[in-house]
Amino acid sequence: MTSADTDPLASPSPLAGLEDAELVQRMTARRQDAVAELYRRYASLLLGVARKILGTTRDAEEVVQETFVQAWEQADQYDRRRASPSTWLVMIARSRAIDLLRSREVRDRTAAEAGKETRDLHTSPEGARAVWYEERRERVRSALNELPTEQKEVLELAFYQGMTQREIARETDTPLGTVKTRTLLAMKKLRRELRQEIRELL
Amino acid sequence: MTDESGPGIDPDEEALLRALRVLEAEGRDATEALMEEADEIDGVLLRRYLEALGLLGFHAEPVEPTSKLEERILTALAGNETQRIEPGIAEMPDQRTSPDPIPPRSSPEASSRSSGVPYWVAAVLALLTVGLAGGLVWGSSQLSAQRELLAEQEAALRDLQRGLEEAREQQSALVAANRRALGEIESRLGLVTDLSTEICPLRPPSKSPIPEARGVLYIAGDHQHWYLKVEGLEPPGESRIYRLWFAAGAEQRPLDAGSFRVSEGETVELGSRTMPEETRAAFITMEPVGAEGEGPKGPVVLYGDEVMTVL
Repeated sequence: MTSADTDPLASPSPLAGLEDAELVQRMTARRQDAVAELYRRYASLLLGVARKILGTTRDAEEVVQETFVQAWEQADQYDRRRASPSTWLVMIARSRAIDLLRSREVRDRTAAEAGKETRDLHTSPEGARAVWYEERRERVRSALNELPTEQKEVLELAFYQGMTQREIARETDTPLGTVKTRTLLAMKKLRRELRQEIRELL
Repeated sequence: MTDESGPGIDPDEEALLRALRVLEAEGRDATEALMEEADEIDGVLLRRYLEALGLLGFHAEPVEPTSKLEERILTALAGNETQRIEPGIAEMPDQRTSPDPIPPRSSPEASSRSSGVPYWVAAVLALLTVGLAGGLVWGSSQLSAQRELLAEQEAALRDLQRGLEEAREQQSALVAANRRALGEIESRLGLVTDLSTEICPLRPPSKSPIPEARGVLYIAGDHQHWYLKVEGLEPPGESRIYRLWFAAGAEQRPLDAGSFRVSEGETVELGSRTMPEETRAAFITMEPVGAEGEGPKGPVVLYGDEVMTVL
């Protein structure tokens, strides 16, 4: 991950030139400035993921805070051969958000609060977000849109609702075997479509 | 979320199933699953699927954090653990205050003098060492890239092979279906041209709702094998269906021989290798859907009880 090279938000940091994995390495040495740099690179991504799961920015910010605390505590367990730091952080944030979704039963109030919050939603001003981020986001969106609707649906329910395949089968009134097949096909296509992005993360 | 992988499973699919487990692991288990040892399966393939999952996060609309969030996080970290104060990357450590005294670095000349090796020899050796190290790093990265490419191509090849197998299976099924259809046609042709075959014309009764309908029932000499061809029937509608009956025995008891639908202008062909004993007549009625097991209730659209031979 060399996103810092093109991220305008990261330019003031003395750690801006470091790769993500090097920042995680510095976290093991208890360097808070490394956390701050990772925060500059990924806070809006993680907030977006958590907000899409939980529906409110307030809950999403709580999740992002917990994510960085967990990353700080577990930095020594991070293995760069297993996953890129951005995937590691996304999966922590997703997992924490789904835990919160279940434990607080925010699912019900999500819709109501999301409606209220629309006016207060903070999004980056035009041009402030890094170009690489927008390009990657566009490619992911395009790859997902290439999938048949039912395959996209199973991925979104699994990733953003934390549903098991059995739950998806119930929710969509589809045989479990069909849900499994759709998930596998969707992931294979996604991996093919995003091979360039994946290569960048390896 | 996923089944346990069984013996002989495709490595690509096994990697994918392993990656999908991360989505169903809860809480901290999820990150542990992400970081779990997976040396027994293809690590490159697993990594690719994990990264694909991570990229799904980019599908969410990014949200700019409020200004206080970073401060809250850093405060939480400070409360979590006393931070070790270390210099930033741009700041060099002050050697005067270093707790571990480091001996003053000697000049290259002094160094070469003290070791007895000329300075230019040391410089050349240093350059060679740097060049060799660079070459090793470059070679290693090239090897890694080649491995990744190879793994990707192997996965694509497996996908192609799977597609080819599916196409072969479909082709085999199509060939088998065509053979069956051809066999059926040959059998019917044999039946309608056999001199021992009897012919029973089916005609609409006087009050038939479909007076244009016509049918011919061919009955083999064994009085078991039969073939029916019907033309001129109209689509019966959603709630009704056509049903063929054989009237058997002296009392002409109606026995259900099967139902069928028909589309506009379609010629219906039916056949079987069994016919009830002592069949005296055949007729087709229009019945309500779901009335199987009951006797004929609907109007008779075709009826035949006259049998003639080809000769």
